[in-house]
Amino acid sequence: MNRARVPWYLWCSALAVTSAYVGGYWDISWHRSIGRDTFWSAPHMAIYACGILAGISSGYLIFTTTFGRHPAMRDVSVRIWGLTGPLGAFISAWGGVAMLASAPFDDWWHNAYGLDVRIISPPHMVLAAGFFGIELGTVMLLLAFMNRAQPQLRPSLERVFLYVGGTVLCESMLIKLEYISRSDQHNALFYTVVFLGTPAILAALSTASDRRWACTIMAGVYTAFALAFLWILPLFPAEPKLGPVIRQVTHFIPWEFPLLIVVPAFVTDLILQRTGGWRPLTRGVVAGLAFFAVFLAVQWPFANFLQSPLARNWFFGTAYFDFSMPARSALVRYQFFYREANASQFWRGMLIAAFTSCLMMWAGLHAGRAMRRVRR
Amino acid sequence: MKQGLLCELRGLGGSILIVVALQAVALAHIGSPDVFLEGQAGPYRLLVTVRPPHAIPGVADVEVLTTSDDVRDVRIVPLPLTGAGAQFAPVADRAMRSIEDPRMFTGHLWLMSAGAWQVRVAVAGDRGSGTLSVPVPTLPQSTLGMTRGLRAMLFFLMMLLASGFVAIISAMAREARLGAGEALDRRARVRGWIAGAVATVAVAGIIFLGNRWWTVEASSYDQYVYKPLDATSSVTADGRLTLDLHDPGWIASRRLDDFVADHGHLMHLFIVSPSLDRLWHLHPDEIATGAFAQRLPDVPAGQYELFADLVHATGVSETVTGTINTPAIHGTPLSGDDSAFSEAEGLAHRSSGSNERSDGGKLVWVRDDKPLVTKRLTLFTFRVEDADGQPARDLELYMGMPGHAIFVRRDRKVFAHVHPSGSAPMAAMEIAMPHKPAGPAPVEGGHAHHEMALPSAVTFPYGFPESGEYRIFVQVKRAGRVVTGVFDAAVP
Repeated sequence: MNRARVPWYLWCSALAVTSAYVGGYWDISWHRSIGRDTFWSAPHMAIYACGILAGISSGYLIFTTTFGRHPAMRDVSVRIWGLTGPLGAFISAWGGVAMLASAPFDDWWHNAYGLDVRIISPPHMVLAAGFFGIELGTVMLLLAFMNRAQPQLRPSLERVFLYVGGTVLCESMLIKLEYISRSDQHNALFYTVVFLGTPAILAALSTASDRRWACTIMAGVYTAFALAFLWILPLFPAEPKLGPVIRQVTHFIPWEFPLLIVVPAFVTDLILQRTGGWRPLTRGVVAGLAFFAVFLAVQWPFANFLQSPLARNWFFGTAYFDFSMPARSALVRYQFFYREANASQFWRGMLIAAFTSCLMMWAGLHAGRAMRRVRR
Repeated sequence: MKQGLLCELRGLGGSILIVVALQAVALAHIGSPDVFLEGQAGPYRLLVTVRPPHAIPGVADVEVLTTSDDVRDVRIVPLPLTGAGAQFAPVADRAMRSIEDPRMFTGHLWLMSAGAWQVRVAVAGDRGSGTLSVPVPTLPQSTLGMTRGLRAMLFFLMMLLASGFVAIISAMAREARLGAGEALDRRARVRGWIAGAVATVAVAGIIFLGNRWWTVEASSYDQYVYKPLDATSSVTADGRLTLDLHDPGWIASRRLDDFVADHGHLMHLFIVSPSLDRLWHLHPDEIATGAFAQRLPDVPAGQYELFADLVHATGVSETVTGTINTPAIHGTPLSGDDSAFSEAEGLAHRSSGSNERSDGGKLVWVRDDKPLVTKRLTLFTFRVEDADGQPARDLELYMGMPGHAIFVRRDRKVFAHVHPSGSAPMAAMEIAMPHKPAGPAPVEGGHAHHEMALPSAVTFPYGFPESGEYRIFVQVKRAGRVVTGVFDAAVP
């Protein structure tokens, strides 16, 4: 622990959350391109690898702390149900159990109500809870090590920490895909959905890490992953194996160009750097409103651009469609669809979005301060 | 099966004698969802069984039995019967050859939406290749219950996760901020208790909201579960039966103005007596959108059950069911393709597997000694003989078919109208393969006399869905006259 190296089990946990995100994104692309999968499909294997890697890491920590002869480890552990270990290890283990529990639930759900073609379903949310459990566990594990670390080790741990924070942001975007397509980006609901979680994740992990550009780095991780998927996945062949096939697909279909979260994240970093002495509420409101305004200012016109012919290329990737996407779809027709029935609903929705941004930012700042005190 | 509602209205000067509200209960056929089809894929004759899934989207089981040894490869692929999705097929699956029977190929296919689908079977072998399309209605039947074991396991996992969550939150508040080796004090313990209490409330709230969500999802799926057409029938004093269909609400693509003719008629109405000793096979005319009428022949007083087969332009077929209670009707003589059967009048003698008719002709069920089984494709062959025991040579097509078979279980909870080509309606088969006749025997449109000589035996591919006592009505046409035979089948 005192060696100036990041321990293997922390790398193992970071790899677990990476595996979960890659598997989850790949699985969605698989369903958009091929449609049918099996228990043993490659994306599923990547998702299972998350559970296995997290299980190895947390299992090792809990087992060796509970039954091993390492008083130093025990001194920095918590005790749950007679077992001892780092808090993050327990949270990760909980996430693994949730992932396991989702499997029979999801299987029954398919048999009872048919294959759920939606991301948001009760068994999928149990699975998502498992993912987030493992991610939070990894974050807490890193925090405990980071907050106790020697000065020479802390930068390395912070880098891993922010990388994991970026994957948390990625994962949070993944479960929002049904509400954040380019045709949705002129809706107030879109902004509310994006702000549910995002400012909180950025503010909390940024405050906990104490890095000047933490928000930008985490948003950069999200952007880099999304761009990599957008540019790499279409290079691999894929064919639909499920009907109805409305359009022919010959390669993997990625999700869309990443949201421009990196811009408001950069502004948030600037604000947080300059408002360290402010009260959290004031800080949360200012940073939250700035996040809302900047994201709105960049994403709204960018959505217009994405709907234009200029974006129908490999770089911006707006010409990729699911094999089952009907021709009447707004996405296919490069049109916006509107969830709010009138201007009044829209503006009320935008107020809710702004409030959500402030609330999340404030909550994130508080959570970040609490995270800085985590030692075990 | 929903209970039929019987009501009697007397009004309009007593012109309406009997009015019976019908409750339709099932899909095309009753209690017999599997599709059996015999057809030609290029030079290869195939017997195909498709077992649609209980829930949609879900997995259908497909069995392809070839009648020749030179088939090398069988591929199967599902696609909608009509619409944009019918243009492009997904990648076909290779059906696996059975180890026990090299002529049998099996596979599993995802059927993704409610409505009418087809399973396209592509066969390759020594004599070239060919395809056969099998129409498959995909009608979600109901939601699946949870077994006690699974319920217990999921409940245990839920409680484990819930209590684990509370324990972790409590430990987080209690110990996470303590330094190395720092002992727990009372303040930390209180912090843990408070956090645990809050977490317990939060977990209870999550479980409550999750349960509400589940209920909403289940209710939403219930809307998607197939709801058959409702029908109201009435019989006037002069023996005119009318059927008014109503859509209780199901998928938006179901309409009442898109029925298509299935071997010449929009509706095939079967009226049977409870003891199954009488059968009328009638063809009411559509008199308005969703309304059908028929002049009944002579009908003795009593209660009868109705089964009305309909096919939509989408290829979805439905069977509307109901009951009528009627006094004796002195109706009009049968005409056109309408036919009737009465065991008391029609048969001079019945013996096991054989119907000897009063005109001397005979229908014989050609079967072996093996017991009948459920859920397995079986070929039911019936031979038509002259009075002298010779194969009949005067068979004609009856509504474009060498024969019609009606399989009814004694409790009337299973009903299937089957042709020599199988259990799929001809109208749906024509949508699936518009340029190709299907079925093992020559099939030609129209109902006029045909000079073509038909074989004296007719075979129907079908599989009993469940055990029970069944009656099989077999109808063939001889020299312009419809002949009906009845056969009883005990299925263990």
